[in-house]
Amino acid sequence: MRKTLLQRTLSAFASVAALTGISAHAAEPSATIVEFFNAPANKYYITAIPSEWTLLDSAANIGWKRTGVTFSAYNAGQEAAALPVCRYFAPAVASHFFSVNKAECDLLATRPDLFVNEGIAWYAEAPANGTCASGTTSLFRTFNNGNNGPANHRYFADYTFYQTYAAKGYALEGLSMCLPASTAEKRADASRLLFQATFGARPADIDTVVSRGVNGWLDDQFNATASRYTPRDWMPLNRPDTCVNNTTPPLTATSYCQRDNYGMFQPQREFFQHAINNPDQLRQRTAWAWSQFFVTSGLDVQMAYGMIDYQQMLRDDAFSNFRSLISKVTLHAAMGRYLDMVNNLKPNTTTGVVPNENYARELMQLFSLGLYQLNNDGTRKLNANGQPIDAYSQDDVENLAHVFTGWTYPTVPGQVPGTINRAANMKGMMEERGAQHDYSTQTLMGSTISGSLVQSQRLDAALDIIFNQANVPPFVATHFIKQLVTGQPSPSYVDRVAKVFQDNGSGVRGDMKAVIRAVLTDIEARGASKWTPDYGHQSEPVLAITRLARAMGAQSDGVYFRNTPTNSGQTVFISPSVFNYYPPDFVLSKSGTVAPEFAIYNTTSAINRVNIAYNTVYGTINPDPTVFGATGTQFDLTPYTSVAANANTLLDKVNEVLFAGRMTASTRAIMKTAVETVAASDTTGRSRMALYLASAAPETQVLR
Amino acid sequence: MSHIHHSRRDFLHTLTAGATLASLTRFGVSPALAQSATDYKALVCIFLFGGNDANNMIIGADTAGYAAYAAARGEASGINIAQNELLQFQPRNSTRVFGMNPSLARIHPLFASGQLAVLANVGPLNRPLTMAQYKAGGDNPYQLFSHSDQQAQWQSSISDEPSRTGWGGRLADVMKSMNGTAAMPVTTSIAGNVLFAQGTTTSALTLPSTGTFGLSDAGSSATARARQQALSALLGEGRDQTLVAETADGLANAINLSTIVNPVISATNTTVQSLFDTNGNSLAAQLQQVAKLIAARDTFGVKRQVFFVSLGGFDTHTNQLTVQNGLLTQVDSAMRSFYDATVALGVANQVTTFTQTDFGRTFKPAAGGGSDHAWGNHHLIMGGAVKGGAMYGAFPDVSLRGPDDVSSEGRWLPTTSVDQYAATLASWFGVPAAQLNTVAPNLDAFAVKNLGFV
Repeated sequence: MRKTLLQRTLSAFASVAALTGISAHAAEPSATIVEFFNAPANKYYITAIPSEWTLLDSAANIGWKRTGVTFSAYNAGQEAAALPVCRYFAPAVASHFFSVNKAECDLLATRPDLFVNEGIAWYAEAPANGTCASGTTSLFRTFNNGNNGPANHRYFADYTFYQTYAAKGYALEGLSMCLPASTAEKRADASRLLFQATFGARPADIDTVVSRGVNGWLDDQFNATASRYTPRDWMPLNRPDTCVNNTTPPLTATSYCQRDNYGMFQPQREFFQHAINNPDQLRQRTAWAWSQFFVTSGLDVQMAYGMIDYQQMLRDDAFSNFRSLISKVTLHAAMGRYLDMVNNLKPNTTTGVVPNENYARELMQLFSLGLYQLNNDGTRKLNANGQPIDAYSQDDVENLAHVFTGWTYPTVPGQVPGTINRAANMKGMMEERGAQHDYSTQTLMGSTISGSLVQSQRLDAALDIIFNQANVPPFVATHFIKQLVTGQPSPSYVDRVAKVFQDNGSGVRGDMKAVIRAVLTDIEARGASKWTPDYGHQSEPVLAITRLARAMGAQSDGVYFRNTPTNSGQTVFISPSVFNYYPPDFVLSKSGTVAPEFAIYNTTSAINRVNIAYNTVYGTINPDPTVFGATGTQFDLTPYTSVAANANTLLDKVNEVLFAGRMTASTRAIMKTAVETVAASDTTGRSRMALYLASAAPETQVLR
Repeated sequence: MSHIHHSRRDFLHTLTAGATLASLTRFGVSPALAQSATDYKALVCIFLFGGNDANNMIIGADTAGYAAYAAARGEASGINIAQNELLQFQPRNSTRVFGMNPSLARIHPLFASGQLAVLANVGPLNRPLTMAQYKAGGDNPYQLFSHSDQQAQWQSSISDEPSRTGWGGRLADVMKSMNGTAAMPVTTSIAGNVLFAQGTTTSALTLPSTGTFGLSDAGSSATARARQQALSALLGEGRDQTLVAETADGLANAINLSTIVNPVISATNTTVQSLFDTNGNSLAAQLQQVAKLIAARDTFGVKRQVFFVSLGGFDTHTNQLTVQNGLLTQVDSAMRSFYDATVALGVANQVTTFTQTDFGRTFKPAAGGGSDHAWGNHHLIMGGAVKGGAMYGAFPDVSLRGPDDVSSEGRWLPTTSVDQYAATLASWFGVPAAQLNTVAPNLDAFAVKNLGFV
């Protein structure tokens, strides 16, 4: 029987073989399921039997080809909780069927005239209550009953991809079984999670994620203590003549008064110091994503103490509620200065001066709603003429500008509060000045803000109206998906995350901890979507360099890295405008792919990114003699040098840390040739070669 | 209206969305262009990011004009410029007297000597628009008063839907053949990636304004060579992934161009550099770099170049007098130095420089001594070929709620479109009349195709 079925495999584009005996192994799933496709017959086939792989690999002449998709599974006796997956062949339609459901298998067994029992294909777990346990892969099944091509099942780990088969005439048959992940798959996924959720993987971080699991690691990160910028005291905006850069030894904490207080030197330095060294990675990465959403810029804020206070607030509130964030952002004096809400006065009929519209406009355009009304999946709502619909009007901007009057700088410590505080103080929250508030009743997007409320209530009422707009969930969800995972998420991914924004499961809207978890654990973040051609995003310049530094086990004072992304278009905390370093909707002109980070990718930045990697890998970063307490940057290449005598083992390590396990054979061959030009005894030289090339390779500059 | 509108929209879809190579042949370059390439011309776009308030750059200076100005922007407004501080100029085609912002002292004389012109009240338009038509809606530019959208419309000369290409880039598409086989792109940005410079078939070289442009890994040891070869080989890997291929293409292009360009920008050019004061003036540093590149035009083998430089900070919602005066002082110094450099290089008549910005600003002052986002605005065009000493377009009636104000706060309805502005410059640059639509797809909606300022 086996021989005849194999012959049929080759002649009728079906494929069948009896299972050979399988011996028990360790808990590591030892079976691999390989997917094949036969284009002439338009049929998919999956098999865990190596002899069938060999057979089908040799049958390319009649159209059999591997699709590249593989899954892991258990062999017999490996896992007590695993159940046998039956395999039946239907000769009438020359197609196979796999099931972990005993009742389904038993039903097929009653019709041997229609279904040939081919034994146990592999072992898997059954879904419980319609879902698969954490850490397992959900396998979805489709069936084409012959309406639109030959009868055939196809199995998917990628839910989004699975759903697209509905449009091809396939029936979506739902969750079929739960497959285990191999250690290699788990380590690769851990490496991916680390470039999505942190400033890059340290080699040991991968062990941590694997041992804790995705959700356990997220719990740890949500609970990690926030890194702290060193608070700085208020300084007058006009630099006193006594505050200069004193180059005369001895160096003290206040020697470089001008540099350290008037400009972003210290905030930038500490940003990199913490990003590279500290364990609260998800919080810092989330705060960095917020700082690119609620943008302020050192161009206007100017003062280190103000920027530090603002950025610390984004860190401390990184996982809080969006409603509380927009309150704090709106009232923070650094934002007040940046977008001119500070000292925004009620209309003056004598001078003809009207309230300043800047913050009102950007709060709606950039910090909450976007320009156009959105469906919950992030696509634009269209009017009867097929045109997008504005999310708000110019009248809304002007009305909101009136509501936002009457806030002044926080009173400088030791000074007397003024009618209006003219002394710029960008630390803490702005203060109310009711005499400068316009109490007129205003409408905002169809709701009313009553004139009978007090000033702070009017501000809260306005923010409540905005917070409850239907645009906010998909707008915020899209920002975080693009920052952390991919430039062009499917609408269903946005919809799933936006629903979590609407309700965290306990009836709370805007719970960012739940939203971040949803972004990072979604099947489109973790699943097989990563294989689609336009998935992922280019590492922004900051992330490109922190990834390399952390892969190299850096301990840094941040001084050197502070300035590295500048010529790549991303000077930390000095966004060119409130529109961030790059826009979220940038489209590549050639392919039409949404790829935000490419808005700052050009001939200058392309070369600069590679040069920074070169200088970091091959240079020496000594303590800067002008920076008090400077320690420079030290690297620990031990994970690489300890294995570098063997080029393949070295590349295995680099593959895991920087390629997330996806280094192709041809890329490996290129790197191996280069590594082997360095003597095996020069383990540092070999490690540097591998790390530089790995960091410069376009395949790792794109995070997918 | 709707008929014109829809046919134009169809055209735009062909051009921008469905831009296959086959469909582009209808916009292709005629062989005649390439054969006539004996001269050299360059266009230099200075983009003032944030929305320069030209209501305080070009001001009515005669009695009636200044009275109209001071009606909204008197001393109490916080953004008043005194009449006696204005740098007066008398356009030869007007009976009115105007004044420039006092920060423009170095380029002000170029108006009288005929190398500087003013284009009044220009802005994005889908078609000529009356106040009634604006208020009725239906064919207004999208997202008026939004920075990002209005920058895109100025840079693309397309204002009825987002575009993936800019008019500088499409200009380069049309004129590329004049540069023969030169590897140097037509467009160069010294200000990062910009929509303006993105063509359908061409992309810009972007350069830093100072420093070098090349790989640090330039060693010649066996190991270094192996490393360089490996990097080169890695650029060919993973190309089935869209973003990987785009990353690799960008890097390969940069490395190739760096071998041509780096020797030029790394060298000192005393003729050029002695004319610029780049200290604290990034625009001057950028224009100095442009001048160095123009000086090397024969080295690059190019006959047509489009440059993009920029200065930010013009979003003067508050403290406008101080901020804008500081910025315009930089603009003034940089533009004059650049003009003098083109004279020194013998190309003053072959280089035309012009300004763009997000939008004009409300004539009515905003709290904090500033102004808010508006629409129509005034611009400067400079160069030996410019028919200077004149004001083009129509200076608006600056009364609030007046005939040119689309709001109550002094937002001018443009009387000249970006399309006409772009097409005039493109005509000078050598684009045949039949291909002006490629540069400014909306041009047919306007009767006047050439504003005559150059």
